[in-house]
Amino acid sequence: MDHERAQSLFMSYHDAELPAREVEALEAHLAQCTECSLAWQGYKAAVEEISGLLKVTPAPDFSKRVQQAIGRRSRGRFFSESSDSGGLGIAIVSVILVLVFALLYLLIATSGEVKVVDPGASSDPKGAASP
Amino acid sequence: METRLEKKLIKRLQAREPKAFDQLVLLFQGQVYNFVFRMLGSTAEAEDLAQEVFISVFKHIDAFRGESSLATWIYRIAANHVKNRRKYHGRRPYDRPLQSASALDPGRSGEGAVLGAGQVSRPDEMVEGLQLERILQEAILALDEEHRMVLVLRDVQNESYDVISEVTGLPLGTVKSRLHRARLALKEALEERTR
Ligand SMILES: [Zn+2]
Repeated sequence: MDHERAQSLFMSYHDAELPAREVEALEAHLAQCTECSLAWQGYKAAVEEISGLLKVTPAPDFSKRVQQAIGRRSRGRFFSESSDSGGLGIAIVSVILVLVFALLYLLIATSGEVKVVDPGASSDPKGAASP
Repeated sequence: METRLEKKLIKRLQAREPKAFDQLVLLFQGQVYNFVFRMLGSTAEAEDLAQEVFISVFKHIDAFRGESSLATWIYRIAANHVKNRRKYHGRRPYDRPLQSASALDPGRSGEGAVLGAGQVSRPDEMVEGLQLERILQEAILALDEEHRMVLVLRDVQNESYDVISEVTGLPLGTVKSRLHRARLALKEALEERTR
């Protein structure tokens, strides 16, 4: 067995899923190969350290806050209607209204500008004639 | 597959029984919170995302058909939220504030509490433990998301290969090869940092 083959078996060996015949071959290799033996120790230690990581839990009032968030988002109706799309609907209508008003304002402003420009354009010859 | 008790709970959830929702959160909050915390590395983000996970669970509970266990289904929702959050932020994991579980203050409201398998009484051991915890969390976050998810599900959450395959939608062979690569990368990172 070569180093590469030996190290590719580490996971199955760790999970005790390696057939007896291969366990024997791997263990024989580990017994006489320092490189693979060190690699195996490192592999095993890494898995053990990760598995021993602290279990983190949320704050004690987490469940209460989830309930409150649901209540808020469903406006007390517990998602009986698609409350999110309702919120989205309002947002879309607001954006459309703003756009319509902006468009109207632009239309009025540009038509006003035409009126303002018109007398100026007609007053130009007068201005040129006045001095 | 769902058990008889699970079926009962799901029926009560689908009937919008407030107590059933409370029970569900209490039952799965540890699983969800620890998973998202190890995937993201920040308690504030984990708290926020865990809440979103449960809101999604409640929103879609009618769509739950019992083809997998409730735990696996919830994991799938949590995994999707983690992926979406990464897309939304568009950042590499180690760009965000890193927090080790041991650095948390269980007394402060809004922050996670720690139940310690690794709790120690001697201060020097505690400092060592904190350092190791930080090194481990950094090494986990340095993995790319696909490898990190498989590693967290298997070695942190202690889930079976079948569950991981269901949660990630990956064939068993891919799950195993990703886990092997993730462990090797983690081993390298640990050896590098403790050298
Ligand atoms: Zn060797």
